[in-house]
Amino acid sequence: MSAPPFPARGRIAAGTRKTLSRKWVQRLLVWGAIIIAWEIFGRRVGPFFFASFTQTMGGLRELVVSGDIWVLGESIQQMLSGYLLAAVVGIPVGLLMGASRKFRHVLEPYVNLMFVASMEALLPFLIILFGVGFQFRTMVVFLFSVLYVVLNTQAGVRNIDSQLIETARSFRAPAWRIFKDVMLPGTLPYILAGLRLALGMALQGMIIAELWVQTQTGALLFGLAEFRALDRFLALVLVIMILGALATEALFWVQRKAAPWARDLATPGR
Amino acid sequence: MAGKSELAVEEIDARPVRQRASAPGWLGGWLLSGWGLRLLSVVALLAAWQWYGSRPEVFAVAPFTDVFRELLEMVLSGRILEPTIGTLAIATQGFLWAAVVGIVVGFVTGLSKLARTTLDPLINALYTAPVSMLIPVIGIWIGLNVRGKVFLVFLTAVFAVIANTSAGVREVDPNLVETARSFGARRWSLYRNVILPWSAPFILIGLRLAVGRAIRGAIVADILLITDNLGRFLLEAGSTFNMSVLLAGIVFTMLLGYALMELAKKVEQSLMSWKPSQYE
Amino acid sequence: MHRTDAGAVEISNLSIVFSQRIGKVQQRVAALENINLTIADGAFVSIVGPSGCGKSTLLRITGGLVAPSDGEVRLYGTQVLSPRVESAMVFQHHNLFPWRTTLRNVEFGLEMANVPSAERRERAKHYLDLVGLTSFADYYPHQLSGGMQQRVGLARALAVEPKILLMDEPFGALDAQTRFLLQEELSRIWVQDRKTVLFITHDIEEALFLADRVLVMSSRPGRFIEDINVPFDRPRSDHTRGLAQFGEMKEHIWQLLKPSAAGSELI
Ligand SMILES: Nc1ncnc2c1ncn2[C@@H]1O[C@H](COP(=O)(O)OP(=O)(O)OP(=O)(O)O)[C@@H](O)[C@H]1O
Ligand SMILES: [Mg+2]
Repeated sequence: MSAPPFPARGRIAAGTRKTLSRKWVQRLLVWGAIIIAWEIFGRRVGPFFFASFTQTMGGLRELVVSGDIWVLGESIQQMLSGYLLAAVVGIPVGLLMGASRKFRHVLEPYVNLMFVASMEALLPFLIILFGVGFQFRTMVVFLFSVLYVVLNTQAGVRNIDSQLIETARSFRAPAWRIFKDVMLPGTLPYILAGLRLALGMALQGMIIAELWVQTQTGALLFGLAEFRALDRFLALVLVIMILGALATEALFWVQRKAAPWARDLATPGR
Repeated sequence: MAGKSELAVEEIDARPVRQRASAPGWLGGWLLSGWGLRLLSVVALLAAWQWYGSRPEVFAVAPFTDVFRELLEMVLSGRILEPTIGTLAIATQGFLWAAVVGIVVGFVTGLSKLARTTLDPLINALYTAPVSMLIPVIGIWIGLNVRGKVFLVFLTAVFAVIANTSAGVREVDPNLVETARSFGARRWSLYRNVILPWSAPFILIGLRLAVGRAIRGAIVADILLITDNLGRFLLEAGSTFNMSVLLAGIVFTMLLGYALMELAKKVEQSLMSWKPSQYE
Repeated sequence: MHRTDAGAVEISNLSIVFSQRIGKVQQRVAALENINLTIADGAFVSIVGPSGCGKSTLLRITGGLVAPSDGEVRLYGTQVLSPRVESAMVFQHHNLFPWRTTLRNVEFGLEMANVPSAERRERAKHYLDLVGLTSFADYYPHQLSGGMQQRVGLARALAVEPKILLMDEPFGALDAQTRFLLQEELSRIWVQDRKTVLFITHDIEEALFLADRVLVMSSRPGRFIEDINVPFDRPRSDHTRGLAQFGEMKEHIWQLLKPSAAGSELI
C-alpha cells in the first residue's frame, strides 16, 4: 500500500499556514483602513450625527463602567429560551416531516406560508395574546426562528441517500437503528445549519420585540438615540453585531467538528 | 426550499405490484392520501378556530367566519388598497436600491480575491446582524419619513443580494473560464459570456430572498419607525381590540407576503428555465 | 423447512412488475419474467445482461430488499422475505456511510448483528487487512479513491461472514486498471474460502474471469438465454485472459448480447 494521500485529521501544512498569515495581514490592513476612514468621517460629521471610532470605543467603556451593557446579557438570556424552544420543537417536527409523507403533506402548506409570510405582522396580535413580558418576547423569538430549524431538518432527512437506507436494510438493520445510524447522522449537518440560521433570526426577533415594547436592550437603544449618545449607541450596535458573528462562527465550528464528513450544504433560508 | 433532492424515491411513486387483498374504497383511500389529509387538516384547523373564537370568554381570538367576512369586506371595499400600496411602494424602492447596490458590491467582492478575504467576514457579520437595531437612529440619519423607511428596507435586503451574488461569482466553474480563455475571451467578454450567465441563478436567488426581506422590512418600518400604511391598519385595529379586523389584516398581510414570494419564485423559474434544477 | 438437497440459492418462477408513473400515465413495466435458477453451494456465478434488463432487481430480490410480484427465492431452503443472515451485499455505488470512518463502516453489519464491540473491532480489522486497507482505518469515505471505496464495501460485506455474497456491478464505476486489480483480488479472496457468489456485471470479460458459470440475460423483461460453464483453472491470472478459449467465449457471449445491446440503446 502506498502512503496515505492526505491525513485524516492532520495539521495545516506549512504552505497553507503562510497564506493563512498573509490573509490576516491583508485583513488587518483593510480593516485598519476602514477604521481610519470611520474615524475621519465621524469627526467630520460631528457627535450630533455620528461617532468616530475612538468616540465609539469611549462609549463602549462608558457602557461597561456604568453597567448598562449587562442589559444585553438579560436580553440574550431571554432570547435563548425562545431559541431553545425553537430547537426542541423544530427538530422533531422537521424529522417527522422529512420521514413521513403524510405528515409532510399536512404540515407543508402551513410551514411554507409561515416561512415566507411576514411574521412581523403578527406582533400586534401576539401582544394582545401574551402581554409585553417574558412570554411575548419568547414567542416572537420562537416564531422567528423555528421554521428555519424545521425546514433545514426536513431538507436533511429528505436529502439522505435512499441507497444508504437500503444498504442498512441489507445488513438487517431494524427500523430504530436505521433512524439512529442513518437518518440522524445524515441529518445532523442540516440540523446544525438550521440552528445557525435560526440564531440570526432569533437575534432579529429579540431586537424587534424589545424595540416594540421598549424594554431592556430595545429601551437602551431608544434611550441612547434620544439623548444623542451616539458613541454609546454605536458601541452597543457593534457589540450586538460582533456577538452575532461570533455565535454564528461558533456554530460553523460545531458543524465542522460534529460533521467533519459533510461538505457544503444547500440550506433553505437566509 | 432546498430542492436538491427532487428525485427522492417516493416521488417516483414506483413499487412492485403485489397481488393482495383489495385496497380500501375509493373515497376512503383518497381521504387518507396526501391531498385528502391536507384538506382534512385545513378543515379541522378552521373548525377549531371557529369553536375557540366563538367561546364567550375568549376575546383575543375572533371566530373564523367573522375574520373571513372582515377580510372579504376590506378587500372588496378597497379599504385595504391604499395601505397596501403604501407599504409596497416602500418595499419596492428599498428592494431596487438593494438590488443595484447588492449586485455591484457582490460582483466586486466576488471577483477580487483581496476583497473576498478582507470583506467577507464583515459582510457575513452584517448579514446576520439584526438591522432593526438601527431604527432608533434612522430618524437622526435620514429622517422620520419615507426615505428613512426605504433606507431600513434597503439595509434589510441588501446583504442577501451581496452574499448570494458574490457566492455565485466565485463559484464560476474554472474549467469554463479556461475554455473561454482558450477561445480568446478577454476581460469584458469573459464577464459577459461566462461569469454573468453562470452567476445569474445565484443572483436571482439573492433577489428572491431580498423580495421577502424587503416586505418584512417595510412592515417593520410601518410598525416601528413611523406608524403608517399596513402597520397603522394593524395597530389601530389592535389598539381598539377590534380582533376580527386585526386578524383579517394579519392574514391579509401574510398572504400578501406569500403571494409576492411565490411571484418572485415564478419569475426566477421562468428566467432560469434553461437551467437544470440544481440550484435551490 | 430446511431441505438438505437445496442449493445455496434457489429462484423459482420469479417475476416482478413495476407500476410506474411516467408523467400522468401509470405504466406497468415487467422487469423480470419467470426466472428459474439454482446455484450450488460454493459456486461463483456471474450474470451478464444489457442495461435495464433487471439484473439489479434480481439481486435485490435475492437480498430480501424487494418483494417479487410472483415466485420466490430460497437461500439454503428458507424462503427470503427480508434480508437474511446468509447473504450480504456489495453495491455498484459503494454506499459507504459518509459519517463513518473506514473501520466503522466495516463494523456496520456486525453492529447490526449485535456482535460485542471488542470482537467486532477485531473482525473489522481482519477484513480491512484482507482488502489491504489497514492504514486507512480512520479515513472518511470521501477521502478514499474509488477503488478503495469499493474495497471497503467488499470488506463490510465479508465482515458479517455470510455464506452468500451478492455483488451488483461492484467494479462498474472504476477505471480499467483498478478494475483488473480488484478482480484479481476478489478471485484470490474467493479461492481462500469459496463462498457462494452471485456477481452481476455487464462486463463480459469480468464475468468470465471471475465465475465458474456465466448466465446471460435478455433485455427486458429479463430472462436467462444461456447458461455457460467456465472451465478455466484457478488461480486465474492475466494468462487466463490471454487464452484462445477465453477470447472465443467472450466473442460468443458478445454475439448473444449484441441484439439486445443494440435494442437497449433505444430504451
Ligand atoms: N423501483 C423501481 N420502480 C420502477 N421501475 C423500476 C424500479 N427498479 C427497477 N425498475 C425498472 O426495472 C428495470 C430493470 O432495472 P434494473 O435496475 O434491475 O436493471 P439492471 O439490469 O440492473 O440495469 P443496469 O445494468 O443499468 O444496472 C428497468 O427498466 C427499471 O426501469
Ligand atoms: Mg443495475
